[in-house]
Amino acid sequence: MKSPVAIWRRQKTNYRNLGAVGRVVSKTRIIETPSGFIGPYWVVLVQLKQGRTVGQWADEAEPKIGMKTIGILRRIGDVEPSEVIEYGVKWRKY
Amino acid sequence: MITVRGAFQTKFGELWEQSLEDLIVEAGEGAIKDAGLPKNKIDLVIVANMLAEQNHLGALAVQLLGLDQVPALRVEAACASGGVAVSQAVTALKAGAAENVLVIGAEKMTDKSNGQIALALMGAASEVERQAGLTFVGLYGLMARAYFDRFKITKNDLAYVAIKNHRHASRNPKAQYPFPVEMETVLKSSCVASPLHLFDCAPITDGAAAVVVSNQFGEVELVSSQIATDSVSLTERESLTELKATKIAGKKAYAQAEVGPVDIDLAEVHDCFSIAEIMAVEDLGFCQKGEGAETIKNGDFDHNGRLPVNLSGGLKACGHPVGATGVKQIAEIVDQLRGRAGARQVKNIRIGLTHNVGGSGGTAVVNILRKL
Repeated sequence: MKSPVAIWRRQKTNYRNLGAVGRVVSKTRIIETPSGFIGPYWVVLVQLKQGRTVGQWADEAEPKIGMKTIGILRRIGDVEPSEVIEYGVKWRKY
Repeated sequence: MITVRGAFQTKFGELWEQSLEDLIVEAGEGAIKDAGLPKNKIDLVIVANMLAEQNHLGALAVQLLGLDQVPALRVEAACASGGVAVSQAVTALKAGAAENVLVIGAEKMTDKSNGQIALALMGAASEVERQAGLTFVGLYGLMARAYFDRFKITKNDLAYVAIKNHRHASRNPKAQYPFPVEMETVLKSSCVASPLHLFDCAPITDGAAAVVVSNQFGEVELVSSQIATDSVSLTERESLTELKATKIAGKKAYAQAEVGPVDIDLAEVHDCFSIAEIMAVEDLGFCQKGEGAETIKNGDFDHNGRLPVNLSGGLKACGHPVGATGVKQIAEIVDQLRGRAGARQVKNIRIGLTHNVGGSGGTAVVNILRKL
């Protein structure tokens, strides 16, 4: 079970890249997912002005290398009914 | 002088009848017997392990092996746990804290589901990578995609790594997958995290290996043992197409051993994924940057090539019990240098190298061994 305290603590950093604009520098489509995630889904490595970050792709269009992208607010992972839902930044075409 | 006096590897595979404790005992007793030492001559035990929920593994190993009340500890550095443990043994010997150190790498992975293992392995990654739903295959998938774009290779080029390492494993009775595979099998295997398919990935493996590292005379000298680190997170790296930790550890190890890449006769490198072997042979200086895939395809690193790489079958085909891998790599090189590697033995060899990576490149260990 995800710790509600840890989720609360991560609020300080989870939304850091909300609205940030960058470019996709690499991508992978995760077929075999870790526990707590329902796939398949794309994960993109994004180059921002302040450095690189990584996050899930939340757009119907397939990500392409060099594509301009923006950070948006989305739910992170899957939870049990008794767990706290965590929110963070995912990426879509800009 | 630091030597490796004894070495032993258990069978690697899905060992449903053996527990972690069974594996520790088999490997530990095997290495002590091979060293020709009475048990009371072991004066330090280091256990390398990444995933066990059982803690206190150092003392447990001493108890299970019936050793005297010697100091013992567990070392964890993700998949580089084994390499780091051997390096710590060298430090203890040089400090005069011990004369014969038993290093055991052991991992029991098949008691967990694939999803649980994927999540547990991600404990060696960063928080932002876990939140992205990445797996280790995914992290190396990101590196592979960047490598594809920069050096214009394809999935077909990656396949030659699996084909070579399976061919090597077919000569190794202790390998998890001791059989050759064809190009079609590799390419048609299911995708795990694009562009990496099942046959680009090391398997989930149970297994253990152990070595006795000593300051007494032996047949094989451990000439250098160097560790380097880099950011745990892939997002903080300077480059996505090389592992800086490997380059630094390699450079330091070559300098300590007073040799260069051209002097290495055989190597065991960390091929957790096919792209990892391609980057490793480049980062260790066995070929030029960007030419790893082509050099593997040309047969340079085959059993009868100029520098055989992963004669055990590597992580891909011999198996990858994560915490044990770095120790097993040393046991394999020791077997080769002592001329007892059976059907996979190569002739006229003097210097061998091991390369062990933790995480997606946060830790790298390079050891160089020489036949005395």
